[in-house]
Amino acid sequence: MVSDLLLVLLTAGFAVVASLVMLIIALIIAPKKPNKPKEIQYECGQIPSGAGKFSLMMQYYAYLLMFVAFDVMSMFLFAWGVSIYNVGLSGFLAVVLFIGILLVPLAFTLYHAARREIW
Amino acid sequence: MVDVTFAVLAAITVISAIVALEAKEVVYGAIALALCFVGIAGFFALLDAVFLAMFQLTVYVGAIAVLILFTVMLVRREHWLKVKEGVHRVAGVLVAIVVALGLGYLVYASTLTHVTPSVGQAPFTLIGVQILSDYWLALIALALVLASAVIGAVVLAKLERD
Amino acid sequence: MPIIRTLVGFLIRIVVLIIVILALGLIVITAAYYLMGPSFPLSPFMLINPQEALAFTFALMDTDLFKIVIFPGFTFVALYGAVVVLWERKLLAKMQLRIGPLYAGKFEGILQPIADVMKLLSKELVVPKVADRFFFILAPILTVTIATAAVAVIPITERWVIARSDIGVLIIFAVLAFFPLTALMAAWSSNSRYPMLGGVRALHQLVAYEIPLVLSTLAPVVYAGSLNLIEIVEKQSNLWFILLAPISALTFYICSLAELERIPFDLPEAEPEVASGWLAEYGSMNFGLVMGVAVYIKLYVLSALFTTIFLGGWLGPQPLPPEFWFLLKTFIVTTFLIIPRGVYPRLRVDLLLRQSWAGYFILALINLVIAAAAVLGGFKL
Repeated sequence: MVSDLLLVLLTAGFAVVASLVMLIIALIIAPKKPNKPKEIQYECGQIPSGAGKFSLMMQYYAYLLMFVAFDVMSMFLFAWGVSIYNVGLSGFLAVVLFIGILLVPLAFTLYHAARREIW
Repeated sequence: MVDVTFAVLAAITVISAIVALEAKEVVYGAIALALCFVGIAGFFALLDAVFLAMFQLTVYVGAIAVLILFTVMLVRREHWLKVKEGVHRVAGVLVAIVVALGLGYLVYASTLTHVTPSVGQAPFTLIGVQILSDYWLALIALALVLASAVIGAVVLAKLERD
Repeated sequence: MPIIRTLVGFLIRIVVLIIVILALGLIVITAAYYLMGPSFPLSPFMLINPQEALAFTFALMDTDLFKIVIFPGFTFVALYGAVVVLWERKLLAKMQLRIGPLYAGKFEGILQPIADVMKLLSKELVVPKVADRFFFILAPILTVTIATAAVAVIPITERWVIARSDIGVLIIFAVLAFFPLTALMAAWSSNSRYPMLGGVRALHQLVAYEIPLVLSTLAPVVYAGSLNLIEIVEKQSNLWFILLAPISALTFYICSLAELERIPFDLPEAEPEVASGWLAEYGSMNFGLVMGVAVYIKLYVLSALFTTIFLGGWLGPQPLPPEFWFLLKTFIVTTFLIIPRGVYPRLRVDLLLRQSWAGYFILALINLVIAAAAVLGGFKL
């Protein structure tokens, strides 16, 4: 199985080579005429002012928090899904309890994420 | 005789961990942390635990590194404190080197000097079987910890305090 | 470098270049054959003796290099992407009572993808002054790399797979988990407001729709009992999984629309709202790499995954080869992924996130529980 991962890595490596080739071809063929208006940031024609990075991005933070926990949950569900015959009914009940416990923070976070004024 | 793959992976992991701690621009550090997690996933793959390597990639790189990167991007530069370094930094590095040498000596002096892959690889279906039959209580405890983490994080992150 | 003025001139230059390379290759092979003796596998007599050439070609097709570079690998996927580019524009045009690309090539704009590639290659690569140069150029390359890594586990038939892995489904999801990271890297390195807004929205959308996508493939995995994509297809020889797990198929379809940032989940790239989002600062080939290559490779991966998991992969009536059935089914799924673009308006971001967590996540879990109950109750395939 590790050799399969090596093949995946090789495919990715070939893609790196191919995309570098495309970029280099573009760098060779394309004209290079730098001038000032081309190189400032794009702000629909206005002259940009202020820093590029800002901190108004907290609005949907709750969804991102949920993602971390439910990603772990989905991986454990995969661990269960491939061995479902071997664990039978008791394993199924354990997983139902697992999912049920994790539905509580889902409901909590969805309720609070909908209240936009507190973020 | 040291294995080339192991050496390269170890170099990538350790160097990106050092960069993650020492980089002046914190976003570079977060990206180096993601690279460090990829290196650790490579170690899991070298130990024939491929399921675990995919788990590591999906959860650590896909969720945790992304969350760390996003959070680091939110912090404005003016709010960072400047820490006075100096003798503490040198002392820290010395302590780390001494601990590493001590652990290395312990490992070499024990009977653990040579790892023989004995069984090949265990089928990963055993992971699910063991989690759900022998250690199901740990699974439920994990669910409770995750639930409390999410609820706590949401409560801490929102603006009102009631 | 002469300015490329006409499409036909460009094509003639490419054809001349290919002929020159082949002639040079023939001279090199002849020289090597006469210098190294018959132990050299290629020989100029292959041109005359077709048996030798055929044997060599078949031996070459089974090597990993061929599979990575040409058939189920990069070149094939890139060509599929080129075909889909044209097909998408033509299909949407006909749906919206327009004509679509018409002038490139004599027949209904059939050389349009080549014209697009030419245009993207020959425009100036502008890197904004405030942008972080290294990550600005690294992010599109990383997106293409990760998209291609997922192609490695997709089986076109049992023979045409690059990596026959026992955890194929998990490899695809580990790879899909990298996309929010590259989008965020691209957005941050542009150091400008619109990309940051678009990048954060892209992050939230990609991340929110990844979990229902992952969970909706779990029901077929439970029915098939394996994570190996080849075995999942083989278990569908009696009944396709789309009939056994229809809710999962629907969830997978909608979540792949969201993962591809397609309409109706178009907000990260919306022109009127965030001025083309996290790609706003990207110029000629950077843009070409992300919007041209990586998006269409992702489209191929998700369509092929839908075909493999829900539609029975390469299984089909015998007189036609299995590769044809796979390609036909993938193409139909791709068409269904393209069609909402001409029909639906865009979803607002908070509704989008809410719909994913409160809607598709629950749907995927429901179908998973049904599948598990059915399998435990004795349903065997």
